[in-house]
Amino acid sequence: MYFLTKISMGEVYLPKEFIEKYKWLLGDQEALVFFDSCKTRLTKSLIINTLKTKDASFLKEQGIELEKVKYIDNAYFVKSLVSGLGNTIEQNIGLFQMQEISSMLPAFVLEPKETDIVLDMTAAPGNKTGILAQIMNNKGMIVANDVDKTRIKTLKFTLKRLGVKNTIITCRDGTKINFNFKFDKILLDAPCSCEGMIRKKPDSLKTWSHREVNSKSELQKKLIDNAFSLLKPNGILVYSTCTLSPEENEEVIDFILKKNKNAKIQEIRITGLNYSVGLTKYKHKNFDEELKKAIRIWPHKSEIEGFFICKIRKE
Amino acid sequence: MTKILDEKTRKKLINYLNSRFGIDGSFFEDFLFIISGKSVSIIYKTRETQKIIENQLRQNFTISFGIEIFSNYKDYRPSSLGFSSFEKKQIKQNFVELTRIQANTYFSGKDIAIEDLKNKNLLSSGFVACISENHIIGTASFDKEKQIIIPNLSFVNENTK
Repeated sequence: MYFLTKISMGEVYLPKEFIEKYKWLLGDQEALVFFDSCKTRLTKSLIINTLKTKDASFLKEQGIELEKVKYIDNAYFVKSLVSGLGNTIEQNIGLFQMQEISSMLPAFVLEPKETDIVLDMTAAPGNKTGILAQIMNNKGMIVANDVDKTRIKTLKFTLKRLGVKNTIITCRDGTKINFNFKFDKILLDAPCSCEGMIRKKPDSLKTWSHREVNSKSELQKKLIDNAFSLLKPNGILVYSTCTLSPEENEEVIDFILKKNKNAKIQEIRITGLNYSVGLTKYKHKNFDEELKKAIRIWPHKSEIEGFFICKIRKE
Repeated sequence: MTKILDEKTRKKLINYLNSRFGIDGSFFEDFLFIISGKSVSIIYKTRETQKIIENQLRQNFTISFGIEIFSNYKDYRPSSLGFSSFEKKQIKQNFVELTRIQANTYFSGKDIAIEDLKNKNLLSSGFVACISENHIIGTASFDKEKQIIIPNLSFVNENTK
């Protein structure tokens, strides 16, 4: 059964079970605020590509009103109601990248260094890989992997457009991929049910079901299990999703913590962003207390889309 | 087959980039040149990453390495998009500066008459770098006889490769 809610960008379907789930997670009152936030217009955002330019003056000169994102260097909310920004000359040659703010965060949380060997396990379409390359100043090395051959084309094009020179691209199943070397840092932005992206993708819940969530959760456990095995000692893994479903977040992290005693969650601090801590309890399930160090970004508490991020060190 | 470019061809390409565009050859010291068919890419290297890259080449399951700078090295055809990863200051000669309107013409794939260009440094027919508002936006072919530049069209189609 579906409740149909009209929103300015079109229609958003909130399945009954989805509504019940979020009432459980947030309580009745706050859940209503959350559902209301799904109807609001998402502010467009972009990040300047520091591999090619140093500031956003070229956009401001064109009369585009930008508001600096306090907690991400070189990221801006686009305040002007403009269309076609993603098809400008500057975008075509990679001076900037239109991207949702929350999906920029995992790369910054990973904090790769110029000397690091980094794996972006599910890299397509390449926006996060591009940010990793920027943080690394096009040095070190990134392995950008994606299982989907058709999405690899987009990944290749994105990295070329952004001027990324430190990356190799592989097309392998992330649950099985293996290398004869280990990584200093791994970004696993896992495929998910996209519950946090309702404003960006109003249709995202059309195919939503508990079964789908559980199926994604199983895949995510396989991915994180393999990712953790590919880390060097003291290596860092950042796990992120654009969903707020505990089955796809805390349950996945709890799984890897239980399986690997040397997996330790690290604090994440993003000054200026309003976020919540990870859950330690969901329905009948109890998760490791350390999950309080993970972060949940709620769309109704911030200007940005919903996201979950957890940083794990291999001790 | 994808492999590390032989030293002789590597030097030849670096010499071309230097003699044609004035790009300082020392820039490429930190890069490995990888050849795949007619395409040549560069990838940043350190001692550690070079070993990894060589290993990946042996295993033969890597799809691409670094950024393509020549789509066809045999006729020195640069990859327009790859070329846009160079900085304007690296290009000393054989370039044209396009206004915003001309840049749009460039991206539509239409020829641009040389007489319409305000700033240019054109020594001979062949590939030239196209610059607009302080950024390299791609490459084009300069036809001295017809006095036009012809956009390197592969740029437009590169995302569908």
